[in-house]
Amino acid sequence: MSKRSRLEIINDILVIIQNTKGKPTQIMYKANLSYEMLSQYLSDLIHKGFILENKDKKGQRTYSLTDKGANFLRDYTIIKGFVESYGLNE
Amino acid sequence: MALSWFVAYDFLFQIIFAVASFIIALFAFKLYKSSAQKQVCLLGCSFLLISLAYLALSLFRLLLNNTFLYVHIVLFMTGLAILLFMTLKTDKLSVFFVIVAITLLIFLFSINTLMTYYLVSAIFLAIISWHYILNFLSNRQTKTLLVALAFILLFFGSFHFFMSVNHELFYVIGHFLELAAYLFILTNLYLVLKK
Repeated sequence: MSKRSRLEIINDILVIIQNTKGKPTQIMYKANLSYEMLSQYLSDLIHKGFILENKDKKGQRTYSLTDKGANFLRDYTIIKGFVESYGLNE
Repeated sequence: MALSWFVAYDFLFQIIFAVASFIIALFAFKLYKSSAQKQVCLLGCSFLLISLAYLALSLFRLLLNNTFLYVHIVLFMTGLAILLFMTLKTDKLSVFFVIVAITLLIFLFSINTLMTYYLVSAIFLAIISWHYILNFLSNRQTKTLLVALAFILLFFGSFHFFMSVNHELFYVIGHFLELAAYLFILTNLYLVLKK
């Protein structure tokens, strides 16, 4: 199995957040990431405006998609095709 | 060094190249909006500068004012410098400024600006092409092949322009090679959008 690109990992995280309640542990296991890596990605995605951090009644963190995050998922195939053709993987 | 009969076609070619590279820039900026990928934005910036460079060259052909030729050289070389910077896969902005500074110094001390421009752009395009060849070898797809071929053709086009200083026919061949390169780039865009 080939190593996932940064773009593919972002897509995986956003898909998980879209399809689940967006709990960090759930995202971590389903996206197959370490805690440190997930924290970095989540912080980056919040900074880029793709996701929002919320806190439920018990004070537990959850994440939800923003419109920008939803747009990323909608355009993902095109973004991936373009990025790959020019070797723009970050 | 354009052939007299080719001047009108030359203008047309520059407009076609300007439009083609502008389409790529526009598409890259649109994708940057939804992806927030810095590299996509940089690619958009480089193609925008290249598009403006072709526009400046078409104005030079139309008005025969040397200022437009120098504007073309500065814009085109900056566009290529961004592409070269991207191939180096570094976040250090200082690297980009070093590339631009060295390029400017070469032009400042050159005796024949046009010949230096063709030579330096050919060297830049050779390095950029190598990056896209490696990209194709690591990810064998039609899309990566088209981009690699496009930049190889741009390199050969630039090399023909360098040769055209002494042999005018090379100038015409260079244009057709560039045209083929932009057709490949636009075909790649079509394939990306088709999926």
